[in-house]
Amino acid sequence: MNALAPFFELTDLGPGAALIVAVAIGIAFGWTLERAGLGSAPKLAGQFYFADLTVFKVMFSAIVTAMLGAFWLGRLGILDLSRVYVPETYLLPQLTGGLLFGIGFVIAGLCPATSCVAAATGRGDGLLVMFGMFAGVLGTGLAFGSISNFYASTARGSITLPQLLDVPYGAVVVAVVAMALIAFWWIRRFEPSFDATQTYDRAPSPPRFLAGEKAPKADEGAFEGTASEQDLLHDEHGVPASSASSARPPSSGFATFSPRKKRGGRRRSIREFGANLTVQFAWAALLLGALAAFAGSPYRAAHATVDVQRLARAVAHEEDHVTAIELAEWIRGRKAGLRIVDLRTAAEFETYHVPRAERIALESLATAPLHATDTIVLISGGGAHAAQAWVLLQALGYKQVYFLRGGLQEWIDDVMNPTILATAPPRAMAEFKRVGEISRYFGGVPRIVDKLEPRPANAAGATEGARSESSTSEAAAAIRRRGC
Amino acid sequence: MTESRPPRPYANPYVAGIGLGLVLLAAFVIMGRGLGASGAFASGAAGLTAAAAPARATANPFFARYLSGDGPWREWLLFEIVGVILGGFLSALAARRLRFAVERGPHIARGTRLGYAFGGGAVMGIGAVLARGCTSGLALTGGALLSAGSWLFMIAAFAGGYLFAPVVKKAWR
Repeated sequence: MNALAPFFELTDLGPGAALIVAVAIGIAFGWTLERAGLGSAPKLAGQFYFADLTVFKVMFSAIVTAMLGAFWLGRLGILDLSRVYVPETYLLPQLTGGLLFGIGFVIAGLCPATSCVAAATGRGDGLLVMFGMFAGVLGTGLAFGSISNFYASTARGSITLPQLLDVPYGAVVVAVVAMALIAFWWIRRFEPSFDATQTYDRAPSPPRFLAGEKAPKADEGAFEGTASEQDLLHDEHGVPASSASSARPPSSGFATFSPRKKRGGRRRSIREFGANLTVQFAWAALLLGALAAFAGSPYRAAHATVDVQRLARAVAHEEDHVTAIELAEWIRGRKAGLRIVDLRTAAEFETYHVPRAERIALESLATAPLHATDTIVLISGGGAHAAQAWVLLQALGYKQVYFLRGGLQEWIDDVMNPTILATAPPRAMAEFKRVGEISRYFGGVPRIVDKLEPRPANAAGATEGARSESSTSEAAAAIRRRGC
Repeated sequence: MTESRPPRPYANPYVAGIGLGLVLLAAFVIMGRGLGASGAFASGAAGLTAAAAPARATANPFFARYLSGDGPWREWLLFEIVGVILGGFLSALAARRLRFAVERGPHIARGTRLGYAFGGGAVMGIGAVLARGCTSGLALTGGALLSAGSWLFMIAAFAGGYLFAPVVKKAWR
């Protein structure tokens, strides 16, 4: 059976539809965060003082839910899990970045997504976190040159915990479920007032305010708002919220402690039902997690079918490759959906690569984050690896795949160093003028010479031999030294 | 905001978490990718730099990534974040939680809180660039997909937060 999902890759969902999906998913995301109270900075910051563990509860319930869902949809063959983009691992940058991020989080009280929710609900602090975040990203981006080496260090690719620990995927799934449930159970035991009707109504301010003590500072501290705004917040008995409790932040939903008429009763029973439901969900998660440990791999076998006739036709009609000049024109023309995939080693890629190219190793091509609608151009040193990768991507169902026929060498020869004999016929000269213009756009040096120098032997059709690879590297290094 | 009834209580965090997990799963199933937030900021920063200094932006490998393809203003995460803002607004509207305010701890001045918000945001921005993601894109999404780097980031972020929490205790408690 063929997998149905991800829909974006396996159906005709276009880029426009993807953006509509983005907004829809975003709305659901923002809605859920706001419902949980994660648009309120004191509530998030409470996580770091063990005063309010909502962040932890929401985050790990979400991780367990999505992890189990992804595992089982993958296992049942509905979702092709290898096509879901797994964030890549860079050990040191992520360790350092994580520490910095955590420090920023406790200072700001909001993380990037929740700052957007806070800002959307009128919280000025949320807006300032958004501005700060933007400034931080912009500043780091502008200073990227000085951190790029560190940024790219200790790369481990899209490695998962099961791969790292060399254990079955399901074993990690059950371990994560068990850890989360033990943590939830532990929280439930030690969180004193855990009770379906009270916990979620609790204000984010410290319990001493709740006990009705005088908390003069809280009035101006925990809740920033004008007096008239506060006076608008009456409970159902018409008592102004500000006089009923000076520490009552309206955002907390604290007022539900006051007796309610009919609506309150119904809502309370819904909440009790919700609390019972979470216990049932916990059992379901435990069951699905335990079964996952014995269910085998969630990935589809990496087999694919090839329409040999179609591929042969594409090759015969020369629809399988592009020339370096064509590629240069695509880049300059900002062709939509263009993805330039460089298959060479990281070191070679660092030395020189075609502008806008991204490096993907041949081994990880099957799981690379490419889209069905992308126009993919494959580049290798000589050209043979790219041609082989072309077949693999065609087999995986990508239609608009091309390889740079002469490899990077052709790019260097034809785009970066185009040369022509001074005695060439006028028509060739006119064409050269056009090529020269493209070349200069990429910082190339077009030359008109009296005598053509012999080119390295690995232009079109050369094998991926050691000699051609090294001569490409030398040529690439020369381009780099030129400083473009 | 002339609503006189009190705001509704927050949802049960476990139920909200399961809901969030289903949203994330929907992103996997429909798009083959997870949620995110910091990527939208990065795309915006790339777009702004490209508008101000095109040559500088394309020469910068960090920004250049967002400038390829359909360009920085058609980035998926940017549209998703617009959705997040809409969704947060609608939810707060329905729950009567819309309010112009600066939320802060009981012992911190309003201006200081806003300074902390900006400064903390900036530090998070640096961290998010280095780590290639934030709580949504890296911790939540990668956590559910068992990415090794995501779990490392998650542990580091919680560690950073808890270690630094005593330093800014006055801001919150």
